[in-house]
Formats: sequence, structure tokens, C-alpha cells
Amino acid sequence: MKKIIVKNLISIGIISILFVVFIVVGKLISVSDKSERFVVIKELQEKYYIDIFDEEQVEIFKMALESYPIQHLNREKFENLLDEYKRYYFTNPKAKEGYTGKNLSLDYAIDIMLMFVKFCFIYFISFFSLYHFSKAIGFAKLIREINYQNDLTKFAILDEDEFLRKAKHFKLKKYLNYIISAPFYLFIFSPSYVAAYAIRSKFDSDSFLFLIFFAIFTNGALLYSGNRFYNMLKNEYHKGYALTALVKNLKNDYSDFNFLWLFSLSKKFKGSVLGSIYPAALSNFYLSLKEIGSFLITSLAIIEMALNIQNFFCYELLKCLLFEYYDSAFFIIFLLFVLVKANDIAAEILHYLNSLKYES
Amino acid sequence: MRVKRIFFSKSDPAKFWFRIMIVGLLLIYLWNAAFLYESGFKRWQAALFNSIFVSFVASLLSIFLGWFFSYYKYINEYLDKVVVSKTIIFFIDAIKSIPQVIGALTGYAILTNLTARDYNLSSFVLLILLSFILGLFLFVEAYDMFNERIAYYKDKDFISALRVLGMKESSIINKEIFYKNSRPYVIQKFASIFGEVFFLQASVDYIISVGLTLKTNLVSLPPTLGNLLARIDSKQDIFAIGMIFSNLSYIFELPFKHLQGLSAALTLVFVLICVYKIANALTEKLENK
Amino acid sequence: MNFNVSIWTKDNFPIVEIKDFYFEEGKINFLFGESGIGKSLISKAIYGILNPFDLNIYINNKSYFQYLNTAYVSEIRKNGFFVFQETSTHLNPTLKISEQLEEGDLSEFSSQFLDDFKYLFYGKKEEFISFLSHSYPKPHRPSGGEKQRILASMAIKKMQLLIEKNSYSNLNLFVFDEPSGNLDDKYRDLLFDLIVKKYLKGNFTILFITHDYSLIGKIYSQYENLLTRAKFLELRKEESGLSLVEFNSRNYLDWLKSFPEGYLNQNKTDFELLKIYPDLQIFGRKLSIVKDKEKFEKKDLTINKGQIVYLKAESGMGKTSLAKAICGLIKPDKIKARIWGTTIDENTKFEFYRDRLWGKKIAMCFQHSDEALNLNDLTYQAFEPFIKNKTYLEKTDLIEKNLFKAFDYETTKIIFKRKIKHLSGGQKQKINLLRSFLSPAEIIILDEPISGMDFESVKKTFDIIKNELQNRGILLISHNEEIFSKAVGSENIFYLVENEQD
Repeated sequence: MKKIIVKNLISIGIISILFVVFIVVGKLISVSDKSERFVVIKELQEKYYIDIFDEEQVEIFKMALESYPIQHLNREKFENLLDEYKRYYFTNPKAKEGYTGKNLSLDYAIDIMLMFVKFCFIYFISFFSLYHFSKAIGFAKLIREINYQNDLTKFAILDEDEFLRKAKHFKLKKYLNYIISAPFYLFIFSPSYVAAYAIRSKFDSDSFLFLIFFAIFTNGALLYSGNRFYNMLKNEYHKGYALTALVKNLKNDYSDFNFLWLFSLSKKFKGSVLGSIYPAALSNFYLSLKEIGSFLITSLAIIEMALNIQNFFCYELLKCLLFEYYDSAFFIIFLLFVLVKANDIAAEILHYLNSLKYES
Repeated sequence: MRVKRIFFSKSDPAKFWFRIMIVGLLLIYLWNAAFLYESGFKRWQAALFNSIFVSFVASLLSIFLGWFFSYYKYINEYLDKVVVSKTIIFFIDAIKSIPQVIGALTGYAILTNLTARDYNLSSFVLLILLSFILGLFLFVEAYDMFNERIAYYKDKDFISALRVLGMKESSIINKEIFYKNSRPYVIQKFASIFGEVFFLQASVDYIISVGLTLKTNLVSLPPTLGNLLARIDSKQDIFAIGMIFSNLSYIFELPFKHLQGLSAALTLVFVLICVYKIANALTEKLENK
Repeated sequence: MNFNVSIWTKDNFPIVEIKDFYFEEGKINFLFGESGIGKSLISKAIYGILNPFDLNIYINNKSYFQYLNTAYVSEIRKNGFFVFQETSTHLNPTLKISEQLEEGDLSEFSSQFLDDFKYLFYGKKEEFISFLSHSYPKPHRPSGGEKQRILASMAIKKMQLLIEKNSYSNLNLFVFDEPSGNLDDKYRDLLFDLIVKKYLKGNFTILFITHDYSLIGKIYSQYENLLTRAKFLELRKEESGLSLVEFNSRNYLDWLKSFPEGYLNQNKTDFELLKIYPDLQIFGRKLSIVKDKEKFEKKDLTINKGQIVYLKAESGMGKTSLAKAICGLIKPDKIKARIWGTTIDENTKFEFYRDRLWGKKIAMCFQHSDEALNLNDLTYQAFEPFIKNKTYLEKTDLIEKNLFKAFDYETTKIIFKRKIKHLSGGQKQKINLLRSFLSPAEIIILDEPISGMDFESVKKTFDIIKNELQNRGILLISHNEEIFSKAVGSENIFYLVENEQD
């Protein structure tokens, strides 16, 4: 365990140094808004109601300046300043209306940290929920498959016509299932922004519940991780020791299985083949939590950015990137990096602690 | 019908879902050609083609980079060049630790910065650069897959036998492990990465296109499904889906009145589902071998 | 009971088809046949543990779904057991061994079982057995032989429970699939003794799948009373397909008598190729090479040109690890050897092996051809990369000549461009062997060279080894002690033992 923590801390340490360098470079290359230089232009606009993009108005004003210069501002100086301002306006997004965002300062860093705490809170609840839902889906899928196979096998004692009728009935049921589940599939696989607009969300888009719901039930996250666990269970089910368990006549019939059990936090299935394979599958699943966590962070980031949720962590990052406050942007990315690393460390430690249970 | 049986036979689920995807896209294409206004149809066509092109190129690039780094890392470990192999591992870990969307977004931001400064990049070059950015953050999955294949085989007896018989290590890795024993895994990983790139680029395009306000909307990138969805008219079309909850009969008007946004969203989701099914089927095939 | 078994893939490719598979109830049926021919698959099908959704299976013209619902299958599943061949994956890594011996049907208590279990580990200390039963199985511990005994003990416990309950009958089918593949003679004998003891009490039906022909010798010499209750069967591939025939056990015994002791070492020279000094340490374990196990007489193991040396040891002792260390594939803690006059030890850099030995001076034929060959290769591709500086036609010619050593003309033509994974186990093992002999190396290490072979192939391999010995030295590792001890001669036999004295 020491090895896991040390290895990851070294990685965090080196990357942190790199990020400090990036932040410093970011601060240097962040285009300053230079807006102080053009305060004069703004004042003239307000005082004299000049539209500086209207050539006629500007020409009249220049002629007036020729005769009546204002505060050391003559025609020539005004022309130069105006040219510079127009160039600045068209090339610098910070000049346009509606921008907010700042370079990194202590106050701003604290604001960012608070947003980060909010983000982490949402992330942990989503992650915990996704973990349990995935296991439930994986189990449900495998149990359904085994029950289907058991049922068809039992029906083989019937005569051929009856057997074919039963098999057809199962197939029809399967196809009906596909049709009913199609809208859910479409929803679950939708990118979150499509799903949110489609259902004309009654939630406030900046509510925690909204974010958690969409993080779990869109972007394919649920099926992706559920399928992962299902594949791990299936993999173990095909291994030799599952066959030995069958030979020992451990239970492999789950027709009386109560699907509500899937949502209980401890799943024992004592005395059954599933009970034999579950611990090994779970152990492998712990390692894949790294990828699932990373995917969930991506998912949450997409939701916050695409739905323009103000005062939320990832949307703040988007603003900093687009308005070229690279120092702030790198700081936010660094915090995300720390979250991902924390997730990795937690998954590895969980896997390690779990494997300790099976050390002689 | 024989055609139905052959074409839609489910004996190979991966092929089955690939065919479903082709037929589905064809149906959407025909419907749009019939009912979508001309400029919208051209936009949708270009968006679909560009999205698929970028995903394809990014996936290829990911596979290539994954192969390159895993092979290079292994050879350096084999030759005891610890510094080089540890540097590669560190570099890859660092990339893995950046959420993909953030990395892609940063790359996009730099790219759009370049285009805003009048570098006059053609659409094709832009698409290639976009593919490169996306490939850079997704190749780690291919890298992991190649690493797993090496780890699985490197201590196996047949590899040891080839070593003792005098085969070079590079041939063992590239020919024996990757080429002869890992081709299905490469295909499966390609399909899986394709789906992820398709999703990611749509999301990032959407985010970049929406921007913060209209006035901060930067230079336009080539049309893709993501930025097509970000258009105001497409968003209105998606909003309209919600109307079916209050007026179920509106479901029959949707495919005619709100086609642009609806077909963009449907194409996106449909391709994602099909690619997911294909990748899944390939995974199951590998695990049941 | 007779079975007509037909097994196809879901894509309708035939895997196994046999019209008249049988075993006699109430007897110990020994089933021989080369590996990969279908012995395990047929047995699993009959036992009822194959999945009818994975394969198209028909037994006695009934679909496998219907067969699984018969009373026969219910009975054998309820009151029988199946001991699988592949030990590495048949123990649950998340349950202690003792827990695995007490779940399902084995959950009932049997006072005799503990003694039976200890018997299978006879000679091991009490603490070891206790540690073993309270441990979780890992890939390398317990060893393959230990895992095999643990799996077999499950069947033995089931037998014992039936005996105690007095509910045994001919319908109790116990299938042992290669239960002694990883065991040396000592533990194989212990296991077999225990099975026979249980059999004699319960009169079960036993199907004993094996490649170990020396069991025949054992039965004739130690279990003559069993001869009327034993059946020797062989599954063979013939032109018309698979068939089950009675194996003439006398043929084997006559063949064994036909060659003199030390037959393979008749052309031994004095030219030293390899010398291994007796004191070694591999993976933390101190080992010694001795000539006499009882006296613990350490001796240098020397292999000369024309000589074959047989290295024996208990299973799990480290014979294969030693072989890999000599080849430079693993780094031992301590070793000293002389190869072609050059001394190597634990500090020898791997570049030495790569540049001077591999492909030039030393070659190794690994056990388990399924793992030693690239199954996705075509047969000729297994040889091609190692033939240098020849045109395509010359290479083809050379490869065919090599294959003719082990196969007849027609078979060579058929398998030349066939994928290795589609060959039978015996064919794979022959290719594995021939590939090592293709190498110009003069020191060859053979690790279980006749594993998975039928009797005819064993005889052929014997001849190949005899021919190839002319200009080489061979280090042999094998569990087929009866055959090779005689063929090699006692003065060429060494033992690898744990060094508890130093």
C-alpha cells in the first residue's frame, strides 16, 4: 500500500511543479485587457454619445477636436488611439461585451476552491450511486441470462412443437423488451445537453440533483459501467472454478431471485455459483473504477460546460480558456488532475485492501 | 426472406450491429433528403461526414500511438533502460490523469486561437488537427491494451521458446504477439475508441460553439454534429421533443417540422448506440474465445 | 452404457463425432488417446456439464437439452463427481482450500476425509498440510501437483460420503481427467491407491482419463486382482472418424521389455557439452543435484555429446525453473554451470544468453504444446523463422523433411498449411519437439516430450530422440518415469532435491 501511495504522490508532486510553471507562464501569456488604455475612448463615447464604429460621427468628432482639443487629446492622438482600440476590439475577446473572469489571485483562487468542493461533492455522490447501479445492472443481466438458459433447458422435455412455441414466446418477449427499452436507451446514450433540452428540464439546471441525475443517466455512463461489471462476472462464470462449483451442485437457479436484493449493499448469494464468482469479479471491478471515475468527471464537465451552469467549476474553466486567462485555467485543470489522481489512488487502495483478504 | 436472413443474421452480433448502423444512417439520409430543407440537409451531410472522418482518423492515430509507446516502453525495459521506460510511464500517467474533455477542450482552444489569428487553415487541415488533438487524449486506452497483450504473453512458454530459438525481441513483440495474436483486440479497441471520440468531439464542438455569449463565439470550425446541435434552430428542435409529454400526437409532426436538430441528435445517439453494441459484441467474442 | 456423441460449434463446424462411445459400469475404465482428440469433451458432455447454448450437442440422437433432463444425468450429477484436468483455474481464488472442500455436496462431515487428505500429502509435515488447507489458492502456490491432489480429494470425499451413507451404486460416475499429469510417481501412486480403495468399497463407475501408460505396469504388478475390474480403452482418430477401441495393454508392456536398459545412451561420448554444479538456489529455494536421494550424494550433472540425462524430482520442486535458468530465461539466486566450456552463474548478463546461446548452443522444448506453440501459426510457420539463408523452396523442403521424421507423407501434406490450433494434441507435441531439433544447438532440454501423446506417437518420439542424440546432448524432464528410467539407464539419472542441510 505504501508503494501505491508513494508512487502516486511522486507523480502528483512532479505534475504539481509542472503546473506551477504552467500557471506562471499562463499568467505571462494571458493577454492583459489593456482596458485602462482605452478608458478615454469609453468616456468620450459616454459623454459625447459617439458611436466609434460610425464613420460619419467619428469624422465630425475629429473635425471638432482639430479646433477644440480636449485634455491633451488632439485629432492625431485620437486617430492613433482609435485605430489601436479597433484592432484590440476585434482581436481580443476580453474587449467584447459580456465577459467575466480574471487572472489568478488569492480571492479568485478561494472562489475556485469553493466551486471545486461543490464539484467534488456532486462527483462523490454520483460515483457512489453509479458504482451501485452498475453492480445491480451487471448482476441483473447475468441472472436474466442464466434464468433464460435454465428455463429453455427445462422446456426441452416438452415435445418439439411446444418447445418451439415456448422458444418463440421467449423471443417475442425479448423483442418487445427491445421496443420498450428503446426510448430509455436513446435517453441513456444521449449526450447530456441533448437529453436536458429534450425533456425541458423542470429542474433548475444548477441544482445538485439535476447534475447527479444527468451524470448517471446520460452520456452512456450507466450502461458502460454496468456492462463492465457484467463482463467481469461473465468472465469469472466461464472460469474453471465455476464449473467445479457446478459439479459440487452449488445452486445455479435464480428463478426465485428477488431483484430488490440487487440494491442492498452486500450481496452474498451464499451457496450458489454466483456467490463463488462475485468476490473475484468485484476485485477486478475495483481496478476499473479508475476509468469509470475518469469518465464520470468528463461527464460532469460536459454537463456544466454545455449547459452553461454559472458559478460551477467546469463552466468557470471554460470561461478562463475562452477568455485566455490561462493561469486560472491551469489552476482549475490542476485541481481536476488532483481529483482524478485521488480517484486512482482510492481505486488502487481498495483493490489492494480487497486482495489482502485473500492472502494466506 | 433470404436477404433478411443473410443481412440481419445475428450469428455475429458485431457484424449485425454494423449493418444496422449502415442501414439506419441510410434511412436517416433518405428521410432528410426528402424532408429537410436544402441548406440544412447540406449542413447535416457535412456534419455527419466530418464527425465520422475525425473519429476514424483519431481512432487510427490512437491505435498507432498506443502501439508505438507500448512497444518503445517494453523494448527499453527489456534493454534495461529504466530512465526511458519510466519517463514514458510517467508521461502516459500524466495524460491519463487529465479528464479527456478538458484536454480536448484545451487543444481546441489553442486551435481556435490559431484560426482566429488568421492562419488560413483549410477545412481538411483543421479536421486533421482536431483528429490529432482527440487522438492525443485517447491513445492511452490503446496503449493499455497493447501493454496488456505484452504482459499476457511475455512470460508464456511459446515466447520463451521463440527467444531461446534465437528470434529477435522486436519480431516477438510485433509479429508474434501483436500481429498474430492481438488483431481482434486491436479491432475491438478501435471500435471502442471510435465511439468515445465520436461522443467527445460532439461534446467539445458543442461546448466551443455555444461559448459564453454569441459575441464571444469564435471562428467557425468545420461543421460537425456537435456544432450543428449548438445552433439556435437545432436547439429549438430538441426543445420541441419535450412537447410530446403534453401532446402525444406531436410525435408525428416532429420528424417533419423539427428535422434539423432532431436528425442531428438522432444521428449522434444512434451511432453511439451502434458503436457501443459493436464494441460490446467484439469484447464478448474475445472473452468467450 | 453406450453413447452416440456429436458435438458441433454454433457455426456448424464439427468438433467431435463418435458413434459408439462406452464405458463399463462398476469398473475402472482407463481412457487413453492423444490429447486434443476429445476425451475430456465427450466425458463432460456425458456428465452433463457442457452448456447447450455454447455448442450444438447431440447424445443418442437427442438434443443436449433433452439429454440434460434425463434421469440418468440427474443421477450422475447428484451422486458423482468430475475432476478437471486444468488445475490452475479450477480452484476458487477467493475461498480457502478448506472452505472449498466443504461447500455444496461436500458440506457434510466425514471423519475419514482428513486422513484421506493427509494420505495424499504423505511425507509432508502436519504444519504444511494445515497451512495449505487454510490458504487461498494463488497462481504458483499451491503447485500444480498440489492443486491436482486437492481437486482429486474432492472426488474422494464424495466417494467417502456415499460409502458412509451406504448409498453407492454403479450409477455413481466419477470422472478423473488427467489427475496425475502433474504428479511424480510417488504421489501418483498414493492417489491411485486411494481411488482404488474407495472403488473397492463402493463399486463406483470410474472413468480415468490419462496419458500415463505406466499405470498399466502398476496394475499388472500391484493390482492383479483389479485386472478383471479394469478396462483399458483408447480413443483413436481413424480415416472414418473417431472410434473407441480396447487398448491392448500387453502391447505396451511388451514394448517396454523390448529395449534394454540405457537404450538411449548407447552412443554416449566423452565430449562435455553442459555441466551443472550441484548447489543451486531458485526463487529463494535451496536445491541440490544428487545422484542418490537417500544418501544425499551431491554430484555435478554432466551432459556429453550423444548422452541423455534424466533429471527427476517431486512435482513443484523446480525442474522446469532450473531448465529456464540454464537457458537464461529466469534469473536464479544461485547457479553455476559450464556450457561449451564457458562458465555461467547468477551474475551472467542476459546479453550473453541472447548473443551467444540462444539459437546457437542451447534449445528447449517446453511442456504443454498448447502453450509452447503459437496456436495461430500455420504448421510450417512454426519452423520458418528459424531457417536462415535459404530460399522459399529450400525452406519448404527442409521443413517437410523435418515433419517426415514424425508424420507420414499424407499427414505432412495435410498439416503443412493448417493452423496449429486445429491439430490434435499429439501432433502439436510432435511439432513442438521437431522445432527444437531443427535448431543447430547441441544442448537440448526436453520438458515432458511425450506429454499428450498416444502410444504410437510415444514410440515414434522415442525413435526421434534416439536419432537426434547422435550429435547432441539432452537434458530430460519427465513424469513418465517407468519409460525413461529404463531407456536412459540408472547411471544417467539425477535427482533435484531440496537442500535442507546447508
